[in-house]
Amino acid sequence: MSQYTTADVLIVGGSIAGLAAAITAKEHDPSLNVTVVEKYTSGYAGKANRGAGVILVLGESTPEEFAQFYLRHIGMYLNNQRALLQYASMLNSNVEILDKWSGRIVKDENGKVRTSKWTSGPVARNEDGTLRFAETVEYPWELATVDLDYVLKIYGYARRKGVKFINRVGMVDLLTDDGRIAGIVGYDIDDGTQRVLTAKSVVLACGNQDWRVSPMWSPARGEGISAAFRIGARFVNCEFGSFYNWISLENFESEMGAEYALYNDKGENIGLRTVKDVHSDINAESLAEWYKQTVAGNGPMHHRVRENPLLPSLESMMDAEVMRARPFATRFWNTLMFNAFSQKTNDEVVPGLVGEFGGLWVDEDMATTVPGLFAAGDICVQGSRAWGAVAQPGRHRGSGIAFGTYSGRVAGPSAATYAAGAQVPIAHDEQITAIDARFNAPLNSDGSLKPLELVAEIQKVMQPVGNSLYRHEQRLRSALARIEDLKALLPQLWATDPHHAFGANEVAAMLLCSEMFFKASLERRESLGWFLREDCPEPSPDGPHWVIVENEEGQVSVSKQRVPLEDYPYQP
Amino acid sequence: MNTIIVNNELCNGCKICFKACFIDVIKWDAEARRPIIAFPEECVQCMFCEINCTQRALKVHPKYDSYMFPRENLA
Repeated sequence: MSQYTTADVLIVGGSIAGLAAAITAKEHDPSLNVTVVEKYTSGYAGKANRGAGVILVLGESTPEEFAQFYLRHIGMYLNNQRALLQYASMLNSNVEILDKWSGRIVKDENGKVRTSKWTSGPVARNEDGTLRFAETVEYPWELATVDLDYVLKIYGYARRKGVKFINRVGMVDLLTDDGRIAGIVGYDIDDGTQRVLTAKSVVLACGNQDWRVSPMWSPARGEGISAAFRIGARFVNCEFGSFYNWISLENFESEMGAEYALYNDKGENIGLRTVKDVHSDINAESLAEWYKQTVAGNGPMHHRVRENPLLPSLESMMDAEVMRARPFATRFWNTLMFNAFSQKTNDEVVPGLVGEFGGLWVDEDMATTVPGLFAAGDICVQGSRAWGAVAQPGRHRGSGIAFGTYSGRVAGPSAATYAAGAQVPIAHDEQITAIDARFNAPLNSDGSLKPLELVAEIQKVMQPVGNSLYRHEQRLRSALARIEDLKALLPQLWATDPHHAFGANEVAAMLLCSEMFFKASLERRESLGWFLREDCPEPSPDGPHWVIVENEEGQVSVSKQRVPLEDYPYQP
Repeated sequence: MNTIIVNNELCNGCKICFKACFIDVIKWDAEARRPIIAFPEECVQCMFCEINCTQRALKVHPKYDSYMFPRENLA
C-alpha cells in the first residue's frame, strides 16, 4: 500500500543544509507547507554533527579579499565567481543565524562570537631551509566553533516554526510532470511502505557520495545524485570528488598536517618538498608523493607526530575555554580519541579516500537545471562551482557547515518563491510503478549477491590513489572498465528486507557516481589544483574549463565548457 | 565486527540510540521497547548511540581491524 502526502516545498535531508533550507523557506512564506523527509532521524542524521564543529567565517576580511585569495591559491579560477562572492558575503551571518537557531555557537563573556585564526601554513623558510611558522598567518578567514548537538537544537527550532517532518523515509527517486519537478518516491526504512510525496518544489539536501570508505562519512551514499541524474539534471566538476585525508590504518582517524612530518621507510622526509608557502590545508601533491614513494618500494610511510608543526596550533584552536563551552563535542571527541588511540600501535599513515563527490549543478539561486528542483549542502558543493579546482572541504577547514548553512539559506527562499508561483503538479502513476519495480527488484531477485559484497568491490576501485587522485589515462580506463563489469552484476543483488533493498539502491548510486567520476577525469587532460594527471602534468593551454556530465538517453555523457572569465570581476 | 552491548535493566526505552544511529545499524523493538542491534557489521563507531544514552545503558566496542576498508588496494 502506498501513502500519499502533499507539500508545497519538500526538503530531502534533515541535517544542517536541509534544516537551513526548511527554516528559511518557511520564514520566506509562512503560508507554505514546508516538509522535510529524512531517511534516518532529523537532527541526528548526516555528517554536520560528527565533525570538528568548526565553522569558517571571514572575520575582519572582506568577501573580495577572500575571493581573490581563494581564486589565486585554491580555486585556480575554475570558480563561478558570483557564487564564490555570494558564499563569502554570507559567511559571517551564517554564524549569527546558527546561534539564533541553536544557541550553541561558542561566545566570549561579552556575547561576542569567539573565533581563532587559521594557522595551518608556514610563513617563510629559515636560513637552513626548514619551515618557519607564525601564530597568525594572513589567511583571509577565521574559525568559529559550535557544540555538536546544535543540529538537534535546530531541528527543534524548525518544528516550532511550523516545518513538518517525516523521519525514516528514504527517497529513492524523483517524480516529474511535463519536465518540472513533481515530488519524490521514498520508502519507510523499517517496514518498506512506499511513500509518494508530491510537491511544487523540491530541495535535495541529502548529501553526496563517499563510497562508505571512511567511517564517519558512511551515510553519504549518493542516492540524491543518482535520482537527479535519472531525471536529467546536469552535473559539473565531478572529477574533483576525491578528497583524501591522512589516516592511520589502525583506527581511520584523520592525521592533519602529516605532510609536514611524512617520512618514507628509509627515513627521508618526503612531505616537505610538496609544502608550498601558501598551504592552507592538505594538498594533492603530498598525497601523490606518497603514491610515488610506495610504487618505488619506499613504503610504508610514517607520520612523526612530534615533528608536525601543525599540532600546537590545532591544540590552541581547541583551547580549554572552547572545550568547556562544548560539553557534547568534548564527550564525543574524547570517546572517539580514547577508542582510536588505545588501539594504535604504529606511526604508519596512508591516504584514506573520503570522497565528497557532489557535482549536482546549481546556479546562484541553488536551482538545478530541472525546473523546481533545488539543492543545498554537500550534494552540490562542486556543482555550485563556488570553490573551483579543489576537493571538498576546499582546503579551508570549517567549510562543510559554512557551505551547508549558506546553500540552505539560499535554496530555501528560492524553492519557496518557485512553489508560490507554481501549479500543483501531477504525480504520474507510470513513473511510480517503474520506480517501485526498480526498488523492489532485489527483493524479488533470485540472485545471491549481498549489497555489502559489491560495496567492497567498488571500494577496491575507488580507494587507490593511482585511480582517484594521481591519475593516468591507462589507470582511469581500467578503473572505468571494472566499474562497468560491476554494473553488470546489479541484477544479481539480493535483498530480504528494506534495509538491504536500500543497500542495493545505494550500490547502484555508488556505481553511477564512480562512472561519472572516471569519465569526467578522463575528459580533464591537465593537472590543475587538486586534480592531478601523471600523463598530463601541466594546466591546459586552453585555459580554465568545466567538465559537464549529463544524462544522454540513460548514458553518462561528458563535454567541456569554457569558464566565462570575461563575465567575472577577477582575471588570472 | 564492532560489538554493541545493551544493558536491558538500565535501558528506559527512550529510543534515543535508535534515533541517533545515522546508518540504520540499530532497529527498534516496539513491543519490548528496546533497541535491536540489527546490523553491527555496518557500524562505523561514530559512538552517537553510546554518548547520547542518558542511562549509560549502551556501549560500543570498536574493532577497527574488521572495518570494511580496501587495505590491499591503497596505491
